[in-house]
Amino acid sequence: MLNRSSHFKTAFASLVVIVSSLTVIGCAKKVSPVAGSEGLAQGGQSSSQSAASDSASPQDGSDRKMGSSGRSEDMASSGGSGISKSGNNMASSGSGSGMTTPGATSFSKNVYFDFDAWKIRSDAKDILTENARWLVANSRAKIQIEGHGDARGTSEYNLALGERRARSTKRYLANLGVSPSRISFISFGEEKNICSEQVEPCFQKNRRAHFIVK
Amino acid sequence: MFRRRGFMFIFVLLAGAVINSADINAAEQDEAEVFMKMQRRGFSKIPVMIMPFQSTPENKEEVSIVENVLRSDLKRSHFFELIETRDIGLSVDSNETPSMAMKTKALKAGVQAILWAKLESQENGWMLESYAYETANGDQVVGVKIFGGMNKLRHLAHRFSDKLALHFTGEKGVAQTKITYISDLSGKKEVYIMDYDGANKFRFTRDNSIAISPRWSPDREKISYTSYRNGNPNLYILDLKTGSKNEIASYPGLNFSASWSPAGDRLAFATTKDGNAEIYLVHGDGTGLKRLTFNSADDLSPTWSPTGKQIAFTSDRGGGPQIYIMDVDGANVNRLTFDGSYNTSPTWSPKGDWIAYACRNKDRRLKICADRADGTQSIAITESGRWDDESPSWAQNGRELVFSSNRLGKSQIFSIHLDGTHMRKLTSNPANNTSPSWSLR
Repeated sequence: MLNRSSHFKTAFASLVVIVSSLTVIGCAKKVSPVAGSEGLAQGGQSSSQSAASDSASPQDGSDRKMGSSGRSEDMASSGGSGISKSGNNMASSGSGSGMTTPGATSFSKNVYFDFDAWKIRSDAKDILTENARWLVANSRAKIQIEGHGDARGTSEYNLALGERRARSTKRYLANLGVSPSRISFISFGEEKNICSEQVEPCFQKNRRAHFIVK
Repeated sequence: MFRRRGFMFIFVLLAGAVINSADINAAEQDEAEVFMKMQRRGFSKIPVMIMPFQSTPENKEEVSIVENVLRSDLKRSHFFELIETRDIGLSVDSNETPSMAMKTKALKAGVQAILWAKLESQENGWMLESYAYETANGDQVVGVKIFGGMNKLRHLAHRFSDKLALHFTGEKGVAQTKITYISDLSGKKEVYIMDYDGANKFRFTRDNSIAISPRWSPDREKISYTSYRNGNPNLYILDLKTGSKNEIASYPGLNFSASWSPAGDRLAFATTKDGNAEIYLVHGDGTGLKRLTFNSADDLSPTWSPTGKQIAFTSDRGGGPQIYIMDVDGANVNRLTFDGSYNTSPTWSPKGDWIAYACRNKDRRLKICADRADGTQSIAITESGRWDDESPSWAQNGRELVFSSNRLGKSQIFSIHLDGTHMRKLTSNPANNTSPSWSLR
């Protein structure tokens, strides 16, 4: 356990070093999103690997895309005291998890939902099973589940829908043996969408439960 | 059905005889509480003409601002038809009060009233001496001195416009009302306030977080909204006078979709503290929490009837979200909407007759619809298209609404008349502007 947490720290520290050194080099404006997406790329890869196992799922492609660029925008623009902190956590723990358990279990950042629905889809079940395995193996890790919706609903109803998605995701993990006390959740409705185009692939990216390892 | 000419004209003549607002000495004794029960059948617009206001080389620019704002107010009001002096070949000396000859000529051209004003600079601002004359007999029917600070030029015109609306229709104008909304112009979603016509936009919060659903208190002194500023989405009340910010609901989960009672003493809101969204009442200081809904479905987005006796809200207890109405104690729940599978965000007209909401069509796009509160009629206010219209909020006159729409790309705020006409865009910056709430005064 101690080892692991020090790995976490090392990973985070190296990320910080990358970010700050690049900043010093001088392309300050573009640096942090780029560094952010590098950090995320590891997490993104691992999640698309796990998603690749059920190849036909539409979210497979969107997941991969998100790892490359979409999320870095989200991080760059995410802010507010509480919110930006969780954004940073996401980056550090993402790379951390990849390093601590290479090849064994991986922890995906997102599961996706159907339009207007909060039922756990079959592709999401595979991901959650894998995530639950990772959580059992990393018994000190706590997670927060963010529930999100696409922009086609109304903002207030989407907040309620986002919370239902987060709650059903939590319930599914708990049924797989993860202690509910390790799982908190929050709904952002359509307030923190990572994709703003008016097309289904984009809507799908937004209809998600997003995990943050604390 | 929305067009029956003549009715309004007759009523205006009657109202004119009853309401005496011609006393310039009573200038600052503002709006008498004269509400006429306006029928919705439509009316002929009242033809009015703005005579060029008196100006000097020193205040020419300011006079022109006031004139233009008044012109725009009257056009927006739906009550008036503007006839320009050049249209009827009238050459005027703006420094004279309108002469009898001018009134006669205007009358022949179909003008019912001539509007004219003088702008005088005062020690700390402006005084607009503003008049309306009936052309039929030359009488001065409105005469009012309106005072305002240096930066209140637009406000002077708004007050003149509201005076005219009150005199000619018996109904309070909306030109002095405000709209609060959310904009991400700064990069974060903050609470903004603007005039009813989109002028004087300014940011009110600096939470640096996510702000949601700002709502005016009935007296326009406070705004409730939800913010993630402390991590959890909690409900806050901003006091515009003192600038204070009080957290009134911070239960685990969502604390959101608040709505002020007509008396302003309580708010209805939804919280998910019980495992799903339920509607509660709470006093403005966060005390007196009272649960109204008991249902495993989500109940949210409450809106009060103007009598304060009923609350309409969104619930998905029947499957998809629909609009329901209950008594203010939670009893007698009735479903209002049946068309379509997704009807949300109800807002009860300040006149009580309509409930507007966001309705989703078969292409999964939102538009603005309205049902009579008694369920006898259902109409679509905005047209369908490849965009979403949502978050309707009524003007105090019950004739117009604001809503947000992404029909031009980013979400912007529009106003529209209940009959679907007079749509105007009120915001146009490169940000997303959403969730408007129109003040009741």
